[in-house]
Amino acid sequence: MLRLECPICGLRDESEFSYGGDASVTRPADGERAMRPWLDYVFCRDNPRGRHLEYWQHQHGCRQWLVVERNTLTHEITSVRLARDVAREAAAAKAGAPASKTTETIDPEPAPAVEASTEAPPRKPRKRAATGARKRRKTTPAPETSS
Amino acid sequence: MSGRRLESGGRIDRAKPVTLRFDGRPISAFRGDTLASALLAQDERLVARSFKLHRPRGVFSAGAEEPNALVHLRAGGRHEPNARMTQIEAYEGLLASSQNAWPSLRADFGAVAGLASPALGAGFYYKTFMGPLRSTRFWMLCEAAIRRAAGMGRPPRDPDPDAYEKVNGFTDLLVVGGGPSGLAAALAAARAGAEVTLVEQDFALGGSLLSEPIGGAHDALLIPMRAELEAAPNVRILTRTTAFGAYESGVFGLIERLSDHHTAPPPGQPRQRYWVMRARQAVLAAGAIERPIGFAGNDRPGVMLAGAMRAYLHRFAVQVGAKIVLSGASDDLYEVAADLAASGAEVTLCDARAEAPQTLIDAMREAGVSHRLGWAVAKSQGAREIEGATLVAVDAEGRALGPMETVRCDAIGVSGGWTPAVHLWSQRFGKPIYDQARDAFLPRPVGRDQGIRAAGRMAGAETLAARLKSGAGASAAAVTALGLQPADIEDVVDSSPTPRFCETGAPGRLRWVVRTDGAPFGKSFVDLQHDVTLSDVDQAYREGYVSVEHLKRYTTTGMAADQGKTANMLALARMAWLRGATIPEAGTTTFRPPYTGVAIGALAGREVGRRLRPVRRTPLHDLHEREGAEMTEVGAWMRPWWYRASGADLVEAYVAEAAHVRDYVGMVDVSTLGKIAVQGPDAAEFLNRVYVNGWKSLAVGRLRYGVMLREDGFVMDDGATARLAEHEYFMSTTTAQAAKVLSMAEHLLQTAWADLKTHVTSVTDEWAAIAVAGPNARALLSSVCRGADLSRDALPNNHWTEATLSGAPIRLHRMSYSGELAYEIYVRSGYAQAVWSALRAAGAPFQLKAYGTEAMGALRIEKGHIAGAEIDGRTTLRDLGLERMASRRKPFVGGVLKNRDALFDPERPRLVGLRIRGEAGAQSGSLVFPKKGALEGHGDGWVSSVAYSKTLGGHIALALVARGPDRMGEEVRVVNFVGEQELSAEIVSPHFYDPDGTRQNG
Repeated sequence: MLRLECPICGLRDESEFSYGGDASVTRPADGERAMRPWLDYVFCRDNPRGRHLEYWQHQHGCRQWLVVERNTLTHEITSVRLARDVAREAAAAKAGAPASKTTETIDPEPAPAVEASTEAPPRKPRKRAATGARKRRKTTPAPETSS
Repeated sequence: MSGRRLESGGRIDRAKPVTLRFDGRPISAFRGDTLASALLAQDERLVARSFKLHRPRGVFSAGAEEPNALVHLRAGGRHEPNARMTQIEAYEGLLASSQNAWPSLRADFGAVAGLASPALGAGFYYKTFMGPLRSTRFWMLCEAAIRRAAGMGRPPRDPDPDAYEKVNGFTDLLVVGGGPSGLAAALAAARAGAEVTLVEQDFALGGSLLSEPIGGAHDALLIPMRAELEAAPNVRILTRTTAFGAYESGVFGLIERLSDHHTAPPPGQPRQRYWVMRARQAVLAAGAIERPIGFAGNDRPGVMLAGAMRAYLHRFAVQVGAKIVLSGASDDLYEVAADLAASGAEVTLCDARAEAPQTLIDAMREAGVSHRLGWAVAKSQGAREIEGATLVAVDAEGRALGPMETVRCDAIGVSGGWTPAVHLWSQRFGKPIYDQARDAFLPRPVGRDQGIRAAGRMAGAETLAARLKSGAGASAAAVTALGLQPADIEDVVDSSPTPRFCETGAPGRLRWVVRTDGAPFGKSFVDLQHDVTLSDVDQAYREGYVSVEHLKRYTTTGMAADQGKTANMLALARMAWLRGATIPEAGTTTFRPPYTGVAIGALAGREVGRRLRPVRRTPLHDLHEREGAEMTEVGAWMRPWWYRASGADLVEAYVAEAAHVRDYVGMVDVSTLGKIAVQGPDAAEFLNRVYVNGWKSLAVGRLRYGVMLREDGFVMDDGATARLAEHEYFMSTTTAQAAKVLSMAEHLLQTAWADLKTHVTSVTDEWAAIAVAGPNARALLSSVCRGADLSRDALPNNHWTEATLSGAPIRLHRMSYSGELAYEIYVRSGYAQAVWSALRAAGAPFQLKAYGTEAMGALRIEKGHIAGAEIDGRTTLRDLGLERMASRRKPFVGGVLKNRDALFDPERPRLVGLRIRGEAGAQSGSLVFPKKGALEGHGDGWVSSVAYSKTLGGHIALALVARGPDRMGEEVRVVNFVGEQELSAEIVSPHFYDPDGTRQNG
């Protein structure tokens, strides 16, 4: 059983949380009409050995979605942050503005002095360029709709 | 007295004699004995039969590693198979019986299996029953016989009458193991002020110190440590407790056996307690397990681990034999030899090493031990018991060098070296690392401190002083990590007695005694519990199963209930030797929980029977039961299924209830619907993004049906949402998807849509909901509701209004699931019963009846509304005929991926109605086939929902059928392969009843 340091509620058992998938993928903008970015977002996942960013929800607690950095090999948890803060920082960074003051990162122990053998390099953002090489599917014509 | 109990000594309470029963025979013992020591004291050697070959077996160890001495414990519902005699505390009335033997231990019929043993070697099962013989009559014949003979012990047949409980534990420092290193670790942390939990599987603290003479220097060490720990207010001592599993984040599973040493648990006391212990730091001091030596007949009753002989001597005052041969290659053996000789036994010590320090040689001469250097036991002699030992001169690898010599003896003590009990460490961190000097797998460094440290013998410390220091050191590191100042226990370490016979410091290493060519002299067991021999390992090697993982599975070594605690090292050392590889090259397997078997009852705790899982009841539950509703489970919810007043059985009742709604008026509890308050200035935008249809135009006072997709474009849920105020909406979801919808909404609002000023809150439990449906609904509600105009013009369909009913404030949503003129009453849960009762009281003139979920289902099937059977996670808007709902003017969740090419495949099953011909109804899950052609494959689709419709005068169904909407009027076959039913049906529109909606809009 894992124990997660919820930024709101403190250290809690895994059974209070539910796993919510890979947190390193970014949801395309709502107006995105191309198929490929959505296919990547929904279906394409790396399976890293080592550090992994993942969503967890404190379902039986404060109901906050969290971004947890977990080592898939050792189950070591190195940081737990509010997903909301991560999202806002990303949005601010994209806008070129300095990130607003947010809840501090919860890192109960000092930075990991990790074994080289158990660590994959930190995950890089998925490269869009690489997917360009793949054959781009034609967007299906929208089905007939009424108003 | 024919027994082997010494006149004095031991850690048994001679003032408290108890009588046990083994196979019906009374056995005298004392408190402080184990079942094993009690039987050995009575000179009962043959205590069990082996698993596969039914060979006679005796007690082999004095602890949790016991491979042989397994028994059935207690009787009836308290029956427990495969209990280790070595850990069963003696108490008055203890009931044990041998297992794997029929008709009796001494005359076991199954022992003929031993005669067939050449055929029962490694891979016997695979070779015999896979391939051509599988599924033949021959196999069927053998299977019955094998099933009867196979298995270890007999499972209990009666329900367990005892209670078990679960506890959530928290501690600063968990110390696993109450031996010297564990005691030192606990003491050091206790002195430093940490909250300590000390766990010991035995009923007494002390570990290996208990195997030392009573009243000696070791007791002078043990007693003050134990006293200080027992007196410390910050130390919790859990004896009779096994730490069976180590999990992430410092979580440990413990089983505390509270009542296993009583005939029945004392009143109010559980039998066992399962601790989920969360430890900020842990010190594992689990000790080490002695290894057997592979020689011919090394399983005969009377062959025992040398360390266990010493435990029986000093702890239980039992001298296991009068003439004892010891075989091994370590200094440890000299201590055993000297002590056994001092107790009056005639001892022969075979040290396989060619040389020994003169001090040891002198000591043995002084002790009167017959001492042979460069010798080992090659064979045991005897039948059911040891009668002698055949000795042979050996080289360092255990190969015979010369002629053999047989000596008479009644017990053989063996020591093949020590295996650190790294199980818990390995469960957590994977494979241990091989230490050449110690010839043992030890915990390795794990990089960043994970708060778990190994200490004592488990960590490779050998002498008592080293073990105490190791415990104190691990404890100091843990204490420092806890932010406390480590405390000194030098006084304890300094008082540790110096070993008498530890001269060379080199660990013993004698794995087997074999012929010059390496072949065994006879059946030489590696895994006593699973009857795996050296020859089986050799055979696995010859047949190519050389990896340890293959070896394990092919020979089943280490796969018995003891998980190879004594066996594993010997098996993998043999494989390494066969391959000419080193031990680390051969590798080791990984340990997984549990360390020793755990009763399922303990894991279940109190969550049994009706407490198996939580049950959700609506605020109206009591009324439903009082009104004669048959209840049904819908997820965790209990809902009224049908009312006994409506009919004699489910079918009669639901058909009548559904028809009644169409003719008059009915009401049903729909409180289980998910209800979500959506609030904030961006609430409309949020709804616009999660639902496929548009929400911006919805005015306050109105409500709308919506459908939402998952991100992958498949339909996820549907329901109505009402706009209560400018910035406030009340969303309803299906009962089944409520949690998922809320979670998805929260996810989007906290990640991609973190900029939306919207908040979602589950209000499912705050609101009860009652649907009132039928032509008389308006008249009924008008008669009971105050403060609202329910006329057709004032409250058209898809509008809501506030009102009071029986004084309770309600919200009346006009919407229809049944297709009739219908309303949903939303009321605070606390008023729900008052409102239901008021409707009942006023209902008679309007022919009001309550209906259940089955009738509700029939009504919606008639209407062609989709529910969980159609929204099964595999259907798209198009499949369900709802694609016209999707807006093209705005993005929404799943809006792009729903357009994937494959989802427009014309062969995709799509929603249709079926009119079933004849008197019999279809079963959901039946397959739909064309009228002509073979019944092959999965047909054209499947039936999702079925009902009998009195209104329509026949059986109907909803189905998903390939090209369905283009096949209206086509005759098809509906086939249920499970029930062997074949019906014919006509494909029709799913909207069987009132397709224009005149009734619901009326």
